[in-house]
Amino acid sequence: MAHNLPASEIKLYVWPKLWDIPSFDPYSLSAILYLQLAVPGKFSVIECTDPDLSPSGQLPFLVHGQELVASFSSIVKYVANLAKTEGSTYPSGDVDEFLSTAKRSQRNAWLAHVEANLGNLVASALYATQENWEGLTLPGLASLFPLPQRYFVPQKLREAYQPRLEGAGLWAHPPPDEEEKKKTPFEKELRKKPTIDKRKFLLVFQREKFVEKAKPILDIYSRLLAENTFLFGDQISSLDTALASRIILLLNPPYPEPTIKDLLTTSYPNLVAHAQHVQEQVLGSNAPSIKTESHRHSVWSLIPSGIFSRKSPIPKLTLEKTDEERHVDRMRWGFVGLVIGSL
Amino acid sequence: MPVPNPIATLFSYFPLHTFPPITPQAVARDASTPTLWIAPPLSSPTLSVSSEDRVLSSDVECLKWQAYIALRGLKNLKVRWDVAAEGSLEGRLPNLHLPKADAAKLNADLNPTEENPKADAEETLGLYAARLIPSWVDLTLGFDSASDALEGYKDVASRDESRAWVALLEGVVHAALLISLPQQVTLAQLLGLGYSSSSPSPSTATSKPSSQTSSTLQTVLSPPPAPLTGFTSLLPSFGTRVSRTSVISQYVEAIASLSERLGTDQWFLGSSQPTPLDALAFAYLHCILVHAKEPVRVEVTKRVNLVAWEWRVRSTNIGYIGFALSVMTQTLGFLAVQQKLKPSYQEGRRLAY
Repeated sequence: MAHNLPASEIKLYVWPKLWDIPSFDPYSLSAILYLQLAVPGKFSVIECTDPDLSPSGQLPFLVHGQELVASFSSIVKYVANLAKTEGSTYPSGDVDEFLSTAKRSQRNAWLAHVEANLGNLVASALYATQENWEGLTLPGLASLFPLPQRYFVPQKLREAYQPRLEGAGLWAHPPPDEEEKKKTPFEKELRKKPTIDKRKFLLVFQREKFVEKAKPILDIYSRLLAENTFLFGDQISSLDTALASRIILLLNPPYPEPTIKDLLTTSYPNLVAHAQHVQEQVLGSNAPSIKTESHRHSVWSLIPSGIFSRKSPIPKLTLEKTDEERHVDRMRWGFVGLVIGSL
Repeated sequence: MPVPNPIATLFSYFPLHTFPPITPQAVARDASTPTLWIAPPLSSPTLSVSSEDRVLSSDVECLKWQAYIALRGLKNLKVRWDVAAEGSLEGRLPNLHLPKADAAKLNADLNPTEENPKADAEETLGLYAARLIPSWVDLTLGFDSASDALEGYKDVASRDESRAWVALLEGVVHAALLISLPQQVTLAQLLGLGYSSSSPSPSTATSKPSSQTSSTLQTVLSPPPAPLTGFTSLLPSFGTRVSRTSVISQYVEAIASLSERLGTDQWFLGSSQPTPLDALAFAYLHCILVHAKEPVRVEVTKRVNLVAWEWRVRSTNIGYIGFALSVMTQTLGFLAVQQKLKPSYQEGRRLAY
């Protein structure tokens, strides 16, 4: 049997572009930045709005020949291994090669911290704050999805983050609407004024709470970065891409409620400079451009993937059948036809 | 318009009695020593556990606080595990139950601006949530933690790094522990549809995870896991879809990093004294070594320094926690398991004999 293996190119499936940022999801964005550093020009980005294709149910995921790898740290590990196994094709696959074993273990811990804490801040800016959600994120997300899905998928994405953000104290519960019960239709509407102030007061209080939670986290990164160009000295690492992607997502989108954005620009200029530096180096004008395609929408995505097996993103191997197999197939179909005909 | 007479006479056959409100039972008897309410430890008579290990909780959060108190050097502490999670403050164990004198001192310390302490000191419960345990320990030891900005670590960089290790432990390691604990078998699991959101500890047999239990996979994994029914499908969100291989591979790397960072140090990050990070690490390592199933447990057993560290901490420092365990508590525990305690705040209060 001849196996015709297609020439394998690395394909990265990510959430699509929004607001001039290659992807609005921090994990997808950091994966794009990392691949652009590790294997520039040898991968293509596929903008996909169907996370159910992935083995873990979340984007980003990587397809290389028959390999399917999901989650950012697994993608980093896989590409680093490629540098070892296929060193000629992917020479710079391991961006963190310069790190010692001790530093690598610290990098893993810091990556967990960035994904958890800074990721919570990004998620609260995008999903939790009511103004941002209604003014920016919901319209943006709805424009990405095809017709039936744009009405319920953004809410599902938001709900997925809710338990996490509530646990961290970063979820903004909308202020309760108080209905004025009028005793008679002629009563004056004097009481409306205090309720408006109460809502404003609640909003201001929520903002203050977010800023208080954000400050210690951003302080830690500011101290870690200190005066260096990158987190581990002069060379860029995967941790820099993870940190920069989240700072970019806190800075660039046009937030209606820019609390954390303002906090970053006024109090943490070194973090802003770091993010811009990484962006310049990785996606700047002298870097090779990234091939981008979009994944076709399919109506089958409306059916939950666990019940029916849907088209997998891995291309199937085409095997040539031998004569014997073709004969067996013909006999099998003949038998089925005989059974149906005899009924 | 007044009620018409015939209707008034009809109503007089159905009089309305109003009874006075029922006040809670008179003063719960004071706890004589500070007591920590925890989730039950592993109770298997066949296992040859030493008497010290019998009081170590099977829930990571409770064990973390037990270890914290022990590592700070406090010895006079009892534990009890006959209170269900729903009967505790905020619905989460562990809780700290203090005798009246200590409770009054702690309240005064926490609310220094309150001028008139509550006149009915008899009514204060003396039950505190877990986050107030550090304040109580500081008060008992006479230690002012505000003066130590480094929190026991050797320098600011180590203190910041400890936050990163806490995030790693509470993220991937916790997720791996959750998926490898023996779970209640649900229909969804039998059909092969994956994990439903798991209950926090194997010993609390709640069929519906309460909304307040925060140790579910949705809060621990980042990015938050997708629902079982998928994001883009028409069905509403239900359950969590977890890729075991992905979690286990991240966990393997996390344990390798943890082992590498510990090296041959006595305490994590080269501190000279035990720190909260050590308590957390001990809790996770102990739970993995004792409760977790094979692929998760074997990763830790491969790292000799982690196993040796956990053994050393357990035998030298944690050993004496809960030594003053009264027989009363043990028999109560047995009875409670028989009766299935009703989860209510009042019930929990009444049991503080």
